[in-house]
Amino acid sequence: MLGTVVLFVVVAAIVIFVLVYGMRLVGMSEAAMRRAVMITGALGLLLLAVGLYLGLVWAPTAQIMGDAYRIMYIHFPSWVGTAAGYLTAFVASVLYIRTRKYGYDYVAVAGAEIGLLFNVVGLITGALWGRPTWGVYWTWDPRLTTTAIMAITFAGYLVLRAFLEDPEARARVSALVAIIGFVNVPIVYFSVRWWRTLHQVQSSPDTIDPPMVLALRVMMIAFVVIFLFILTQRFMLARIRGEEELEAVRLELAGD
Amino acid sequence: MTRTGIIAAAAGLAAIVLVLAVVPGMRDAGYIIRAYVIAAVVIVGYIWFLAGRLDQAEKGREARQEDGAP
Repeated sequence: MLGTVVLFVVVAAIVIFVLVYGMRLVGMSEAAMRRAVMITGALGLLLLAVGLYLGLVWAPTAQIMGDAYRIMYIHFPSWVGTAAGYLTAFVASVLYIRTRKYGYDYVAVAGAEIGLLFNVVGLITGALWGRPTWGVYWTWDPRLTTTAIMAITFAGYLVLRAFLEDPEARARVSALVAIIGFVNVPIVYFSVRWWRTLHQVQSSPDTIDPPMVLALRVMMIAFVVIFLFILTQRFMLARIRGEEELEAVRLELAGD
Repeated sequence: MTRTGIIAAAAGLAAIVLVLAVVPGMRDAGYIIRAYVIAAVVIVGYIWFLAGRLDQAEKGREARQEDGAP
């Protein structure tokens, strides 16, 4: 468990570092960066096609749950995307607070927005899996409730950013909100162990049929690659808008 | 409409076609189909609009650079 968390943090730090400094360090042109993003997107699509085939056609039907379990192949990777997004926002926010470099703020908003996208997909697919297995779309189970709170927190983060006009104040306040909001992520993860209610605890690959594990791993890798593709695009957008905004502030100050 | 948006939409459509071709004979097919179709629509929709916003921002930046802005 600790190893997985450390791995996630290291990967998030590398992604942030590459996004903020990568182009300058390796002298990568914007066209080359764009090509790299497109190759990432194509790889993501290829993995997704293979994963969908493995999950929907190749993997066997579950003994007790039947075919409804196949929602797992989209539900679980959505949570990987959610965790990756919020973790990216958290690490980038910490780095922004320490360095005050706007590049980290751009990565943070990209991570939070994409984390929320996958969070919404996870909630919808979870509800559609819950109905045939639990008999209800929604219940105030601790896992579901903490997950909904997590979505509301990061939606609030994005709304807050829209209301703050000063770039420095927006970056600082939203970084604090992302850091505080991230506290809920480990609570979501451990909620199924702390409060043993309706949602099952995390399964071990040892107890699952190997074809199911393979299909799930391919879908998880596909979602991580797609996450990186979307994150880079969103970062590029945030950077262009941020630079525009800072330029406008500079011109305004020069005019005074 | 951008190239990234069109590719994402085509991929999403292909995924939906695969789901509609494979899933209908399964138990609880309705829930599985809805889960995959809604997930595809939400993710593709986001990528479509993100690609559009990025395209517009880049065009705006190019226009400003042509006007002599840094």
